Amino acid sequence: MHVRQNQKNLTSAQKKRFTAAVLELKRSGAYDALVRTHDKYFVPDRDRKLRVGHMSPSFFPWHRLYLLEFEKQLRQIDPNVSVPYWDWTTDTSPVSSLWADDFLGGTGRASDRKVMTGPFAYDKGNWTVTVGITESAFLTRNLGRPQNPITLPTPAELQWAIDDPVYDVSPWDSTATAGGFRNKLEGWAAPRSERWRNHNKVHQWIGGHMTGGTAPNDPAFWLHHAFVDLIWDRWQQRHPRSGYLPAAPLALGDLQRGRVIALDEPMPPWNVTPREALGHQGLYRYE
Amino acid sequence: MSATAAAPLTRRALLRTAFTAAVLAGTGAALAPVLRARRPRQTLTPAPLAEETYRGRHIAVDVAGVRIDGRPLHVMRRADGSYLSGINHFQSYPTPLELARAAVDELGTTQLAFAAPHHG
Repeated sequence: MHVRQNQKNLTSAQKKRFTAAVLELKRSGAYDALVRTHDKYFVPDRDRKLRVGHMSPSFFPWHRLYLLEFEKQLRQIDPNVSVPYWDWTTDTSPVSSLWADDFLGGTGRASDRKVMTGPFAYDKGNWTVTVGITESAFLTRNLGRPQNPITLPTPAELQWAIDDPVYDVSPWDSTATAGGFRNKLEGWAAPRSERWRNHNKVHQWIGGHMTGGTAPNDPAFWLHHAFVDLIWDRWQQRHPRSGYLPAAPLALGDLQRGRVIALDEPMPPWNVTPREALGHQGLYRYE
Repeated sequence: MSATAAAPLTRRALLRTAFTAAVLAGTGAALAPVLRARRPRQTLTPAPLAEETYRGRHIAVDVAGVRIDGRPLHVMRRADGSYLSGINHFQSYPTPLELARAAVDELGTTQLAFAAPHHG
């Protein structure tokens, strides 16, 4: 069992090994296959199709499995590497060590948002975007969105989601506003004055590739979602008698039937159920 | 009562008016194929529902979708009816025009690709 560390505690040597493994995964083509998987499974909730990754209860277990897939491939390259997590309620500066030259690199330049520093800068020659929706082959970021400033979620905002004892509520999509930890943390449910919170807001704060369906083009994606994964643990610890919902497949006639994953239904593309992904004992732990 | 009211139509004037109208209608009928031929053909791309230049980029919204500088922006809908795009997956907008402006904000000077990956 390996440990997922807070990124701020990594040594320079650990940062170097992590980024080197990510670059090797990119070189092999496996990284871009993972980017395609994320885009493929982003199904918006007006579509009458199965939604596994977003706007649905399986947001947490689906991303847990997705990160495990990424981490498994990284560890085949370097068995000492794991996915670090980024606590975006405490490391809130665009110039924190996370965005330094020896780790993820910094924000994009003003004109075209091109990332100019760090190992994933296009000009270093090791990070060409091939699964994108723009013409640019370079990674883009827009940290803090200076033209329309946005701030990262506060500890209180995160706690507001964790304090909800109900995992998710009908209609199990982005419009579920009657409560529910999942939609409060995914970030579609928010007070009217704010509109977006938590997970969604972090994607917007990073900007560039992170605001779109091909968000994993930015390696920051994995550190963001490792923290989202850790938050699911915190919610389970805070509400030991609450569990994943819906617990059973939805009834005939329910408009969401066949569109969301119940506790014992398999999630593509791994064919693993939420019940099987509720914990990660024996696989990894958070420091 | 005013004495300067218009003279009532005489029977002759009435007939003349009716005759002129009939001649004009006949001419119209004869010219109809010519007039039809001169009418512009129905084009495959109707005029945009909304069109504007925003931060130097050309935005067009029509029934077929949203284009930025002529390139298609992949548009999706949320259950509440609001709009998402290939550029903005984690934030939605009330109208396609606002969605397009948000995409321009995020793009900077970058162009959309002509062919983008599609969802499963």
